[in-house]
Amino acid sequence: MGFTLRLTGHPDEIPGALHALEAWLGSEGVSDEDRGEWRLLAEEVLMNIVQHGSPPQAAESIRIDGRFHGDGVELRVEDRGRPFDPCAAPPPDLSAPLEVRRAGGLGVHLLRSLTDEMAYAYRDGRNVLTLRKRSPAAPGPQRPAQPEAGAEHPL
Amino acid sequence: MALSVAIGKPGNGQNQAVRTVSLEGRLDNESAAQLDQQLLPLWLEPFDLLVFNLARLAYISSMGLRSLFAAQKTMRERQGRTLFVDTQPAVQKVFDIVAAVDVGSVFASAAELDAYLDSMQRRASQSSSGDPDRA
Repeated sequence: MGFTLRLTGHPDEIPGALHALEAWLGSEGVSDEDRGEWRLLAEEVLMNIVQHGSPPQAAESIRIDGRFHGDGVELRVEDRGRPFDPCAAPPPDLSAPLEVRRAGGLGVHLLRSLTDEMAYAYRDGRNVLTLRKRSPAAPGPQRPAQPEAGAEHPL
Repeated sequence: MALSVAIGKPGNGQNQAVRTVSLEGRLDNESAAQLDQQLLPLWLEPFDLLVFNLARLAYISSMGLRSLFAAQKTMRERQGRTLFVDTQPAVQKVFDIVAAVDVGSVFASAAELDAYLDSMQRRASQSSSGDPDRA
């Protein structure tokens, strides 16, 4: 079963959205560790949108879709903010002394480091960011057959 | 899971130059400003070593890292140091990815940190009383 959430882009919505995402992943049997990393990925994406995108709108401006993809989870986040391709963002200078380091750029670096695949497109006035991450606990056709396979969720 | 911040001050007989900040929960976009606020009174006190006990910190995001960076920066401006103890795997993984802390400032356990602090204190008292080998 997939997961869909629509937000207006107000920062106050983020905790609830992250909680809902974790609850969905938990209901699908994703491990605690992977749930925590997906929470982190989603927080970084959403914070980037609300900090650098358009102001909150009355109508939905952010849409989050989650689904199982192959042997892992795929999360797609669409927003109507200014075009921003995190895949093209320069990596942060991790060798710089801590006192001159900024948090900016670290979020994108975390996205790159914690996902197996990250893809960006700008379509119909919307940023579309797709994150994929393999998850040993996630259901999917590439997993080895388990005796209790009947309990697995169909794609 | 919100963030709980406990700031420990040394008792009698303990090293007065150390402050310990224990974090529990999540250090994220919701709670980073809370930590910044709770650390403010600490900067008015004289101390050289800030220890973050992260045994019960389950999660950190880039917003949380910003708060830790700020604390480390403040300590460096005071000519002090920041140490981290008992970092849990999920948080350590983020630290490693973004090289958030200096190598040598992370201690696996409170016992390891205590041993380090003891050795520091011994060294400090030896240097203040003079080196007996040179007498």
